[in-house]
Amino acid sequence: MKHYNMVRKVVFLANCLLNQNAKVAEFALYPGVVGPVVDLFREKGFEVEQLPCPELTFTGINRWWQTKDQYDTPGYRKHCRRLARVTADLIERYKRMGCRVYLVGLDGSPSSGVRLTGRNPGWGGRPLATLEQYQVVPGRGVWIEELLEELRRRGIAFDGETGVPMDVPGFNMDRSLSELRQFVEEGKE
Amino acid sequence: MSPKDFRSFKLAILADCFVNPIRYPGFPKNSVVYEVLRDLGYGILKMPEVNSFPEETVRGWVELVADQAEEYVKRGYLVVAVGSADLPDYGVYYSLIREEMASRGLEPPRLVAYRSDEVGNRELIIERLAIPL
Repeated sequence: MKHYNMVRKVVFLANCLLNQNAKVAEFALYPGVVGPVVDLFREKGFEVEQLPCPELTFTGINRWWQTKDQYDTPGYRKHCRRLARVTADLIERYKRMGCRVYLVGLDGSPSSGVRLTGRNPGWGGRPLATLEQYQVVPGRGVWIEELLEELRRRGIAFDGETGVPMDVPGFNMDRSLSELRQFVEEGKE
Repeated sequence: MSPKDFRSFKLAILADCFVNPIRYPGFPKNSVVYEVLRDLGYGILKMPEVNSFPEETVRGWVELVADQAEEYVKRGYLVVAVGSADLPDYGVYYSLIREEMASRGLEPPRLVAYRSDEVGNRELIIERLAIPL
């Protein structure tokens, strides 16, 4: 039997926060694990889970940069829904056990953004994109939209949601860690 | 890859017990295996908690992990499985991974396993990661 003397907290982290190899080219800021983020949650007593990366298993590791507009297709959404069903099985179990379950996505991402995503309706055809054309706007990525919809169908929800803005130009880890510490504090009962 | 990109090109399919040891009564509560992988730059593909999910869920997760492993290996990345010798199926559902990879005509990732009395030994962990069993 497992013994816990407090409410269990489980955080589902975006895939690339544990594995920067999943990133599209030029966006891997760490070799593998994003230590400062993962360690913050572990040190604060969270159990750590990892979301799948739908981009990696759909367009592969050598994919081009893409916006949410380009990923917003029936085929990609269907792929995300398949991943969402498997992932929701895990989330649902921890929720049913009475754990507090949190989502930490990857803000700025066309798929894994929670508060911010990347848009440009004009992208397409020959890949001549520049970072300046990648418009970070409020909104969720396609994958997060589909995951939250699957949870809604099951009648469950995360107890808190945020994102680490590693896909936003000018990302600053120290600032992000301060935000995450505040997120953790606000989630305390 | 761009010089701006810091990826390591190496990954570990990792047993849950090394990230969340609190879930495993009697298991050492240190995190040295996780810390070694982090410090050596391995990306992690964490497997679900052992003995906690229906077979259908586990097989669905294994299929997702195999999709990732297949893509990484195809592109020249290193993928290993890191598990516990004291948990069923090494805590990484290794037989299911092997079965799934075989159904695709692929070799399974190399397995690196540690006994509970070894998971605090940083040097041993590093040494075994580098040497095939």
